[in-house]
Amino acid sequence: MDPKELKAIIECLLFVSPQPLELKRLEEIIGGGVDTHTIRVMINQLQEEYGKEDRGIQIVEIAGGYRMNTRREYSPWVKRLFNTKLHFRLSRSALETLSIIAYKQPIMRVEVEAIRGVSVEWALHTLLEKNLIKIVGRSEQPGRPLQYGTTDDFMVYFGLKDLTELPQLKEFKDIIQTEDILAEPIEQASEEM
Amino acid sequence: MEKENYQVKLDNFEGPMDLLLHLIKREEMDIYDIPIAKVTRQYLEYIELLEILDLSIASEFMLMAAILIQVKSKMLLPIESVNLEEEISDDPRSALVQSVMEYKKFKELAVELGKNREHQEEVFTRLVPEISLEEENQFVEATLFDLLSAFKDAIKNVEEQTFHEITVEEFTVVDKVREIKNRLSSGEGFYFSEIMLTCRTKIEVIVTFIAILELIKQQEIQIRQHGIFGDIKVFRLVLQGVI
Repeated sequence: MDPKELKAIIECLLFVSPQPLELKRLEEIIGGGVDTHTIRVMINQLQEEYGKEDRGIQIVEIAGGYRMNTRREYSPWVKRLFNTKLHFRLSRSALETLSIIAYKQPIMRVEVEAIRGVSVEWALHTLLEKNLIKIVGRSEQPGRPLQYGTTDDFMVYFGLKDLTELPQLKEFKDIIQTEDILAEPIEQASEEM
Repeated sequence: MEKENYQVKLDNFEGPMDLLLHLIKREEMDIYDIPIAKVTRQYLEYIELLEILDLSIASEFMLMAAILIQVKSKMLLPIESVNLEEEISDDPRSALVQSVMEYKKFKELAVELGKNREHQEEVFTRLVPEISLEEENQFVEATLFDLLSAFKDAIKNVEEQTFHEITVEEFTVVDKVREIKNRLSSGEGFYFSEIMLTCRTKIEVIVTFIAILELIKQQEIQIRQHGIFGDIKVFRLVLQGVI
């Protein structure tokens, strides 16, 4: 296939799709033996072109695929176009519950509740409804309780390429260190003996 | 929605963990050496305050209060153990500290995730057109109970208009079955409410309803509904599955 044509086809597909498109899916649609590697090269070229020309639209990698979206700096004008709110906001409790699920998935409800110290029933309900989490399986424990994990929509919502992109705390290191400190007195004590 | 209202009332403190963390931070306590007596006293003061303000205190708050008191009393007990090693690692506070730290970690991660989201909120994608699906696709399978509640509505409507008229029983199920079949012969379906509106008496509504049930049993028709509580549409059952 003519590279120019291929690039145009990819551009079309990215334009019409409301969901991020995975390379595999693009390969299926394009057909003709065009492999994912070639598609990726073409997408990278497109990304470069869009960037070079300071376009209002960019092509980003998100939730395991690619999609077109507007550039952040032009959001005030987009918002003027739509009077109604396009985005939904999560409550603090829902966000906290979601972050626990994101970092510890697959996780049972009781485990989330143990960390938050409160019932998370309502938060789970909201998150399921917004399709940010899903039931990913059942624990082997008695009663086979449900386990929850995050969805692709979750990655789209937070703008993540994949789960490894979840924000990390610099305090994470501190926590590990302080845990060592906690253990220290014990060692010292035993040494003293 | 109502459930969320109570969370708004408690505002700053989502739960007992949050309150505990708040107290530790406010008093600049060392999280690894929590003055348990002090923290317990302050915690209980808050609970009292919540009671005075007549805010419903979730049982979780009471549970945490109990844990704090338990830890406090454990620390007051003389150490019996001869084994020094065991006794230090058995700091009654350690479990509590661990859970507070764990909660603190995720609370902060939630803030980080929230920042990610703020970033994403300024980004827009193409919108899915609202009427992207064909009308037929928006139907869900209706159950017998859906049909029954639609019937209840229909019968209610008829009751409102009573006529002083003595009618001979002119409707039979057989007639109605034929009528419905005729109606459907064009291939178009019709709405349940539509056909019920054409009925003038309660008995006609009932006979029509029984006719529909009969046709479902005979697998001549199928019923579909516009979402939950939506209007029910009656289709001729085509084996090829056109719908």
